[in-house]
Amino acid sequence: MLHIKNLHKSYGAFEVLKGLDMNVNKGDVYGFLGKNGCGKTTTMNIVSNIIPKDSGEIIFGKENCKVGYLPETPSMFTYMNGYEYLDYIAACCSYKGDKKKRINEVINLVGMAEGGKRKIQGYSRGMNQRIGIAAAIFDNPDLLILDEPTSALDPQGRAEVMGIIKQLADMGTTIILCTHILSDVERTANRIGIVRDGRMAVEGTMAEIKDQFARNGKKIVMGIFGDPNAAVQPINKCTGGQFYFDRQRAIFEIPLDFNENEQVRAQQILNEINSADLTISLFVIENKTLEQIYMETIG
Amino acid sequence: MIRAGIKKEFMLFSRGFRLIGVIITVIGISLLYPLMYKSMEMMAGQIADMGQQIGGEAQDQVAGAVNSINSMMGSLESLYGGSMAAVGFKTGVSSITSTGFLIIALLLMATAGGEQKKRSVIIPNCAGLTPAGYVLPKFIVYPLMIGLLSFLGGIITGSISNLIYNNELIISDIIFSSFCAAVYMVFMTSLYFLVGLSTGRAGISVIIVYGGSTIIPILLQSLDIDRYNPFTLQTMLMSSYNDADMNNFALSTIVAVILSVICCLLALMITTLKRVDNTVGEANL
Repeated sequence: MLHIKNLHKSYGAFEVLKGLDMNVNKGDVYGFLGKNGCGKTTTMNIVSNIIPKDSGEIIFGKENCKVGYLPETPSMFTYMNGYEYLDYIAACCSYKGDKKKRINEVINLVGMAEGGKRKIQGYSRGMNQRIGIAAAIFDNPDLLILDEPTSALDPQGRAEVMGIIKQLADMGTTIILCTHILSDVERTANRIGIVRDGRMAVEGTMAEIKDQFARNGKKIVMGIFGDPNAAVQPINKCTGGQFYFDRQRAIFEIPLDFNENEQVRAQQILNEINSADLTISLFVIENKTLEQIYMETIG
Repeated sequence: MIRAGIKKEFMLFSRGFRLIGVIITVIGISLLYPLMYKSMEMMAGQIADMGQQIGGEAQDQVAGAVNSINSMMGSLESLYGGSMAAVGFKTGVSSITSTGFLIIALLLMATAGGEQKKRSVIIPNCAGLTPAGYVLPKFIVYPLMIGLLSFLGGIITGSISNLIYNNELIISDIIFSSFCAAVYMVFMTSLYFLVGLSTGRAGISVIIVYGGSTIIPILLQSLDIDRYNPFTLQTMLMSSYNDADMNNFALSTIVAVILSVICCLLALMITTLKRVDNTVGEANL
């Protein structure tokens, strides 16, 4: 759906994008990650033709690809209400179908049927985001770009907006979710790209990336019933002291080496725990979390 | 799209303080000048009465002050057509085109570049808003509305002057000056929107256009080009209908209208040129 090759962009002497490559396939929910100021918004602004690129290629996989864009902190016409704004958007995209029906469809999808009657001037941030999403999806875009859709929202607002995004994803919309909130990405994205120093450092499906980083990232997470201190000695015995005890959660984390057979290791630990007459409350082998991968990538 | 744009501009104009602000500005100026000169006359009379009551040396001093006021008003009368009604009317209409324009330009900042600065047009642009769909409604709505309100302001100023000074003004003079003011304001509004939309900086545009409207007529006069241009209308509104050069009036009006249209086309061209297209190959936004 979208292929970016060797994208460069500078603001004066400061080079933000230094040859960014990016590939988004049809139907993807692409989590575009990176720390603040790494070039995520710049990339999306270039793709949406808001600012010019310096060099590089932006290739859409479809002729006349329709792109819907929700910018970071969307600014709308505050003197209009939600319905009037969408009516204007309908005119902008020369919507051919039943305009009123479509307005009602999108406004209900984003849960703004009542709120849409009020002037945008009086909207909360969450309401702004929702009307912005409604406007971005109005003409059934082939590609939907959401730039920090949940930042500055309270937990309820975030949950509502992510719910809408999930719905759109389930409907087959190709979405680029540009954010630094990893939990949002982990819940909805199937592909991610992490930007570092103006270039794509990591890109692939969630599974590919976790597998790639799993080499030095798997661990056994274990908890026991009763006093966890009782498990320290048996665990120490089979790990040689190579474990971490999270006092707050009362769980043990035992890292696995890349070459290690995780089943053998797990059985070893279980045997030691059983020998000490202790009962396991939690025992799971975990891959590296997205957060760990992200922190490792951005450095 | 243009119809939706016109509707959007009317909403912007009427729902904020803008339309009310323009009306208050125009009516305020319309009332101010006739009443101001009338009050000066009345004040001069009251000072003279006071002097007579006091008597002696004070009466002579007061008489001197009253004579100064009367002399000044006599000069104004001869400058503006022989009556205080004409003084009040013409200074009022002239002020609509100068101070009035400044206030109106400040009120319209949001729509003359302010939207671009606030990035309110990003979502509509991505949805498919064209430069014509954005620019043309502004040039349809605002110059016409401001021109119409300026014309009405002139009529109100003339009516107030006639009310205060017992119908000293003739209708043709009122309509003539009001029309000159209206056409001039259409031109100035178009120029303001050209600069504002091209630069995306409404504040600086106010300074450029207002400053330009002061400097350019002086420059044109120094170059002996004081005919057949929109700035002539600002001077012409001071004269009476019977004394005006009709050729100059007609051609200046036509030039003002043509220049307003050119402003619109230039704004459209610049907005189109500023559009970004980063895509390669067949795809388009």
